[in-house]
Amino acid sequence: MAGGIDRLIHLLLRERLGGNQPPDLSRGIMDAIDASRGPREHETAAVQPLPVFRPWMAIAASIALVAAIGLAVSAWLLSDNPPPQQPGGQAGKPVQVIPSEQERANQAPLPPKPEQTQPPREPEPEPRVPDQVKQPTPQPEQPPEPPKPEPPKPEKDPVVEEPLKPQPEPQPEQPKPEQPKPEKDPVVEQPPKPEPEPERPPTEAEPPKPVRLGSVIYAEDKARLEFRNSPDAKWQDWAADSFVLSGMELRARKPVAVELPDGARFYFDGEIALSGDDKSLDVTIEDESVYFDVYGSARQFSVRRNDAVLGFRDAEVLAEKAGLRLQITCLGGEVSVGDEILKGGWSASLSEKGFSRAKFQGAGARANPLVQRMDTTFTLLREELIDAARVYHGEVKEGVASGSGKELAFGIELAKDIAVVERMYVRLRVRINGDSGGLSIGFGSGSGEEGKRRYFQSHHEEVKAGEWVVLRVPLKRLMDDGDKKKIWPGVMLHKFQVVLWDKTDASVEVDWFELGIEPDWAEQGEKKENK
Amino acid sequence: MGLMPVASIDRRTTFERIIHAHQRGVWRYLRFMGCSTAEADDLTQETFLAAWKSDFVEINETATAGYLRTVARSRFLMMVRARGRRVTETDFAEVEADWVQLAGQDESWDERGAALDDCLQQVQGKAREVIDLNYREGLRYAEIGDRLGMKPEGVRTLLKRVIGKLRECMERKL
Repeated sequence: MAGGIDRLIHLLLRERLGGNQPPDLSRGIMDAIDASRGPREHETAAVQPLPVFRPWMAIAASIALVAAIGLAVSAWLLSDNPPPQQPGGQAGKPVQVIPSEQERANQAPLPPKPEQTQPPREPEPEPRVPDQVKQPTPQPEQPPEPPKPEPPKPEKDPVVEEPLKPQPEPQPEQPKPEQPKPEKDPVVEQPPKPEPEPERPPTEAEPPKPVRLGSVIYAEDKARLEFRNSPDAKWQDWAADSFVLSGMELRARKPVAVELPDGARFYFDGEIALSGDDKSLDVTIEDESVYFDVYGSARQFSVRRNDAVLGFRDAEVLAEKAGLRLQITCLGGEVSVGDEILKGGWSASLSEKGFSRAKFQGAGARANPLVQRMDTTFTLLREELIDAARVYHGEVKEGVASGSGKELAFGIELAKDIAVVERMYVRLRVRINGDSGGLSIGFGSGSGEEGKRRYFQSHHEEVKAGEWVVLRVPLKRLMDDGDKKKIWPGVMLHKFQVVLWDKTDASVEVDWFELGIEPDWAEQGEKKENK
Repeated sequence: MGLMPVASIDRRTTFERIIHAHQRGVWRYLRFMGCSTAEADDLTQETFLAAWKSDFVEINETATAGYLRTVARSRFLMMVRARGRRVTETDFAEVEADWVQLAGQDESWDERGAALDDCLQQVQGKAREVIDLNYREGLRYAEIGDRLGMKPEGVRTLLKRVIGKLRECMERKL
């Protein structure tokens, strides 16, 4: 019980301090109910005593009543005229005729029960999906349904396994009273409908050739990465030197990273299906989640589950399976569906109707196992620029640092000093406002072994004014301009600065920056691709 | 747009009332079972949708709450199984029993919430900081540790101790 109370306290604290209170879902639920009403109303119309069906019911009831009376009379006659003794029957004792289940059923009252008088339903141990639950109550009064197009069934998660439920005892088949047929024009005979011709299979087109989308650059231990080229094919183990192709399905138990030729990456830890070409990538989530880090890529990306689809580019997005929908978290940049925009740090549920239940997560948005695993694998340090305490030039507002000035636009002391290592890079999301000839980024070092502080920098004219860009710079490009000395492994980085080329009226904004290290296998991958 | 039969309108109205009355309870129950907020949102919606489609009949509040919990639990188990975990109904029997005893009704939840508020006022100093950083700001143990100069294990131990104190305090009050 102590565990239960602790769990309760944990939830209460989350509600009272963290604001994780139950949302008002009534509108969404009613919308979903209304959306499912069409076919449902059609079904219930056949069961419920709606006025339009009353004459039919009356005729059916009369016929059943006559049949019941007939059976009752025959039963009475039989009881007066005992049949020859049955084997095993007691001699001289009149045989009592017990009406069979069939007869009982025939004698059962016919009119359908109104809802209010239905026997109370006990909670079932493991309810089936309700649309599959069959009422065990005999319903002889149901008129046979005219042939009709099958109503659209509610979507069912194909992955979800239905819990088993004890089946109700099979009921004896009821003789259905003859139903009056729908009225037809007595004079005009309906010509027999021609049998619909079986649809011819469309002429088989050449299946599209698989396009190379990228390479697997990382698979965690025991990830058990498998692939197949079509939904009917057998899963096969991933071979280390294979390429990720369009039309491929991948599944893994632990995080796997895929890099596209333009450097964009996505990470997944469940099951996905891929399609696309050199201009687009479409990922269908079958299970678990996919984390896209596609800043700077010119491709159009989309992630989907059932009818929930999110298209985006130049953003950092986490998409997680949430029942039949997707839970989308925008980790950087912004994504939109229709007119609804989800900015960095926000998450929302995505269905075919668009976003709902948007919530600001702030830094907590990255508190996802897949994102964190990849952050720790690929990133040495990341600054979201939410905490202004270490910023010594410029100002921080809503997770963006901004500044201007002749000497320095923006500067921050790193959360901890970091030693430069081989294959290290810095990546930042930055925007210059106003006329500018680009910017330079730099790191100030601690005093280190030489007992001397240095400033290593590199210039970037390629950063154009007016748009957010993600700049990725290998640290080996940085140089101490004073001594004309390139940065070297072991230098302790202490602070990070952005300086504008245009010293007059330009300003700069930085959304985040990170220091990462390219794993050696990533370079091997690049080499292979280059070959 | 076709007209809606009167019986359907009545049923819809009744069901709307049931949703208003029980959605918080179902959502909390799912959280208690271990759902994230997003999962609880989705499964709550699915639970009511399933109840609607099942021609569920309202008997009384307690029976309705029980029925909805059963459907919600079933949905939760389906979700967990779909992720490859082998779980059965009995795995959650204890959790279910705890829930019914501790917070089966909204009133008892509110009562416990009020007791917790009182007890929280007695938590001061570093213990309170840890509670706030973890629950209010959503920081992880390591991040809290960085801020307070503690090891993550130390944060966890302190948090556990504070929860224990809160439990004792709440039990005294109730």
